[in-house]
Amino acid sequence: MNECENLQEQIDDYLGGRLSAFAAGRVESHLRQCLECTREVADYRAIIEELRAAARETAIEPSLPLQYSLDRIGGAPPRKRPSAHIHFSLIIAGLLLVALALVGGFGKITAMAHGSVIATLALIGMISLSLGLARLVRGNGK
Amino acid sequence: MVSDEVLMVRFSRGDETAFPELVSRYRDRLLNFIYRRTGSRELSEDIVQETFLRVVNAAPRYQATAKFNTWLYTIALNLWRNELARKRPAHTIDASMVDEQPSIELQADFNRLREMMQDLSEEHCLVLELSFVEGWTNQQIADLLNCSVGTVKSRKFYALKALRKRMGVSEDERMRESARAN
Repeated sequence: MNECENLQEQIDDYLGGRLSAFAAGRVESHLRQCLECTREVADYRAIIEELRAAARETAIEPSLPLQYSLDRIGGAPPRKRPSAHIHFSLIIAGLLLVALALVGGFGKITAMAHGSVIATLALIGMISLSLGLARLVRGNGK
Repeated sequence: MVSDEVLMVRFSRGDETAFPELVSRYRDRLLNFIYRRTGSRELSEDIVQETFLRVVNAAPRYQATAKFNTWLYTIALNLWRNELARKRPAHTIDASMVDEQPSIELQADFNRLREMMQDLSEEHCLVLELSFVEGWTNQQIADLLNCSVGTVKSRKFYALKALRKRMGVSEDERMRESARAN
């Protein structure tokens, strides 16, 4: 491979400044001797500069509505959706609560709670489930 | 500086400060990247807004396996391609999408940019812009365009050669016109 072909192989890395000092030195040594390759590299540098200038000159600023909208999008961190399993469990719990309320279960459990540890725990469980459901409903409503 | 990927993971875990930081890093760059494709501020802003919205919605499932910027630009480019497919089946700028009354200077600069790139395919334009305007590495471009680093390099070289040829033709025309005038 002659030096001109070698330059073609390495031109991307050379223009991007990614060549080692040794390889870049070799390219530059060739450029000092080859007018055609020197012109080619100079043209590529001019094109790149032209591209950057055109990009700078066509640059626009984001409008205020876009800025406002992006501020709003990022305002609330994402909420992980409950899994289908959790959804199902909560629906069952909700149905049980409704059923208990219909048959006066709350009153019975409250009355029993004075004398039974199990009934007290059941009461605490029901209250926790109710609070969990309320929190879920509030979270989904946001 | 905290990496984009770390910020995104923090955001997905509920850190409210992480997302505004990501927006501040990419909002303007992404807006202009899309604007150079669409020529329409309104459409570009819609695409940027939708892109960040999709990032937020996908955040709970985010895994830092891919570079954040590659992911972000992929979403934006897909939205732009969908918009094009909806309008017409081609990759070039649709006149109906371009701003009706941009400033005269901006329109002139935009036309110059379009004129420069008119003979290149979308992929070649993307490689040039991402490399020399956005400063992406060949590997990042390869990831975005779903091709090899070798392909990125050859597309970049082809595009530079094509633009050089075009510059040469323009220079010849200018000299001929100058000679005719004399």
